[in-house]
Amino acid sequence: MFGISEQMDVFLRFCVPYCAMFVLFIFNMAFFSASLSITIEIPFVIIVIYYWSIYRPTLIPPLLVFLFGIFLDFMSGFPVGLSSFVFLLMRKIVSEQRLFLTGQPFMVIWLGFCVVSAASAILQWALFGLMHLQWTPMQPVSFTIISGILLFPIISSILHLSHRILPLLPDQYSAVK
Amino acid sequence: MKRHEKVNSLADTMPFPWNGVSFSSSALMFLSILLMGLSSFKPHIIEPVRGRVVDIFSPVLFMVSIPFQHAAIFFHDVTGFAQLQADNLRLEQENTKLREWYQTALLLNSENKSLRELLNLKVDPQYDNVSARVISDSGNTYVKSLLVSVGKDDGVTKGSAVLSGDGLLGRIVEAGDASSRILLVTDINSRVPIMVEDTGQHGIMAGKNTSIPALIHLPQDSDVLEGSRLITSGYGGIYPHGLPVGKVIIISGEVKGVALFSDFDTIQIVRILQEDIDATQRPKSK
Repeated sequence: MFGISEQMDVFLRFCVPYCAMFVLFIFNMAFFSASLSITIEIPFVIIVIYYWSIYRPTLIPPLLVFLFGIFLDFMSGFPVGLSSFVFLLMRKIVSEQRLFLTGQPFMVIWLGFCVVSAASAILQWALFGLMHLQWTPMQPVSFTIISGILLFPIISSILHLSHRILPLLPDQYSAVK
Repeated sequence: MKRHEKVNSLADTMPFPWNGVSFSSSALMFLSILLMGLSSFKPHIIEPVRGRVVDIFSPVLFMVSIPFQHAAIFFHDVTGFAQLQADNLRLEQENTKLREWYQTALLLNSENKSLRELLNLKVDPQYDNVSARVISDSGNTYVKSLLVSVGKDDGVTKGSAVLSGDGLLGRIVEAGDASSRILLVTDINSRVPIMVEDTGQHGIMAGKNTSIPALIHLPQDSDVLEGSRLITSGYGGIYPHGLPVGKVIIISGEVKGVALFSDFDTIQIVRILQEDIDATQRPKSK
């Protein structure tokens, strides 16, 4: 149906954002080993899910988001299912707002991320507290939110570059035109 | 538009495992909630799966964490150069004192041994240990844990105490075949029965997910002093008696917590205690 070269071209183009996702996912687990006493968990995965939920939700179907969360929970010793629940909820809410968000300037997207990242961190904190019947300190949670917000422009630029490599789809809401 | 449609069809044929598989977010969210419940109420079902996943992926994590660990140590060394010089001076003085203490310790050890033999005392089990490299501090904002590159194949069992060079670090909570997870004493789920070395008073050191765990359940009339050394009491049977833990912090007459001996910032190698079965079965005294 399609030539080998065409198939390879599209395949390789699709590999780029997935490779970027994989690297950021690994960073999410390894990057914060700088200090155990002051743990700052940089929410790379949250940034990835937020970005693609707006610009190309087909790239991260719910199953992939679920697997991201489950794998992160397994590796980090977190209650299994907690991260996947938060990620899926976040993806669902952001995807439903993408009609509004795709046409907005970067500052609005960033502001949206501030809200989403804070809400997901607080939801994670609350669910963890409920499951263990004791509340963990809020300070590391706030560090996580702030670090995510500060790094969002850099990470989203990288994701934007990988987005430009992707073949255009008829989807009119795609940001790359 | 035609080209777009063509590319779109091509994209649909991409061999990604999730391609063509459609699960609704709601169904997967429901599944996540079920897993959360299972993880909370039936952890023994989840733990073997988690151990297996960690076993498979820990080599990847280990490779990735190497540059980050080196960067962290470099950053620590550069920022702490002045501290390093002061530490060096202090350590040289300590070393001189320790040499004198070493001779005294040898003498006391020999005296202790002969007295135990005289009393026919059943001594504590002997512990062997296995050293392991930290693969990653896979914990996050909520969970304080470390992954290490040894598991059941190396004799590590669930519940074993883990030490750094300076003091108690935590205990093994999951032991896979080739990797294990250490729950640090700073984790909110950690409780360590401790004893004040000077006074013999017992208490519990409770993790708070901060670098300074709390000291709870001390007797009301306790006269704990600032800087008193804390060791494990051996109560509960998880931690052996006498492992160094930390020093008491008192601010304005109130016990504020424990300054741990372990330096959590630069941990690379840990020691995992294993009960030496042969030694415990061997008659100690006649």
